[in-house]
Amino acid sequence: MQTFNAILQWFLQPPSQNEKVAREVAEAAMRRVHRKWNRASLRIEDIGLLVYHSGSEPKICRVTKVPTDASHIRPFIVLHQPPMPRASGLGRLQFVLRDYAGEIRYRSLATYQLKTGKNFITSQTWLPLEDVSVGATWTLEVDMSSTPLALHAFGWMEVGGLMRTQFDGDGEMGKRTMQSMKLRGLDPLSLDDLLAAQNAQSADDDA
Amino acid sequence: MPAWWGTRQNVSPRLRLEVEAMRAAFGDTFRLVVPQWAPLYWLGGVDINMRGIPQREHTIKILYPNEYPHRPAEAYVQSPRIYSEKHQFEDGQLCLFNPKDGTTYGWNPSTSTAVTVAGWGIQWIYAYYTWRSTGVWPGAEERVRSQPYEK
Repeated sequence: MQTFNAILQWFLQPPSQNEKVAREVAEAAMRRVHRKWNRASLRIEDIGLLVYHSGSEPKICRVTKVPTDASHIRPFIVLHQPPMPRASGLGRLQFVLRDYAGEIRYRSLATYQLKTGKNFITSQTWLPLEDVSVGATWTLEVDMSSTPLALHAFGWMEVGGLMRTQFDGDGEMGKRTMQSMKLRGLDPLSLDDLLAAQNAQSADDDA
Repeated sequence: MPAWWGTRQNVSPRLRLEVEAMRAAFGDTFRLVVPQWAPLYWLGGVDINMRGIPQREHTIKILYPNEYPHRPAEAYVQSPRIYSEKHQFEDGQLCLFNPKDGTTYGWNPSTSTAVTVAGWGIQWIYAYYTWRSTGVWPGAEERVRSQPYEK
């Protein structure tokens, strides 16, 4: 489990496997709004969600799915600001979370004081997940002064709920689950892909 | 003969289901460890919510034997060190059910999963500390004999 300070420390560390993943995710998020990731210009170096379980310190979800038993989530980015001598350094940033149907489920708009170099920015409010029906893939949109900066997609990991109902309370498979197991045999999956979420989470925890 | 869990390039449907079941039941509490030559196992930290025990956090290991699922997954308490003369084999494996109970009440190769064994293992730890404190093992019990089953 990472503390908030540990997360901040992580941003100050030299490049690592973790940072490589963050950058790849950030680049992809910028590409989705037709922006090029360029060292010389304003760019996003990391994007994702801080995931909280009530009262606990947050975990980072970039490529990992957000567990449905989380109590609330907050979007974050690491924004790299190039030197801009005449600018005020103020940036008006908006975070928007849309559900699988494109409906806005969360919006946060605020002005941030940006410094040259890396800026860790998270929304000043959060989305409580209690009684929220999460469904399939959601998106996180980040705008700066009404200009799209990044679009990030994330999924949900069913903990309990629907997924758990496929198994009895004691972990026994029901008929429906056994049937789906047979069907899955048709679709090859590597061990690395199967454990991608687990390995990404470990990388976060080790940071 | 191929491993029950498939290969690194293509895992078996059974392993996929085991991973989904563990995630659904325990979130990211347990991690699947894949040694190069030894059997796969889950490792996870579970807090035991009882007063008066030396430490709450227990590391539980759920190991898939090579003959899985025809042989049940095995549960161990990795830490702290626990030894019980009741319901535990000499190598530390927890004795969780009596094979004589059959597939309805014990291990059922076609429906039981690592979640089943993890749940039994956690129940075992609670029973162990209750026994240490009161001298009574809660629930039905049968002592481990000198020749453990299927060993």
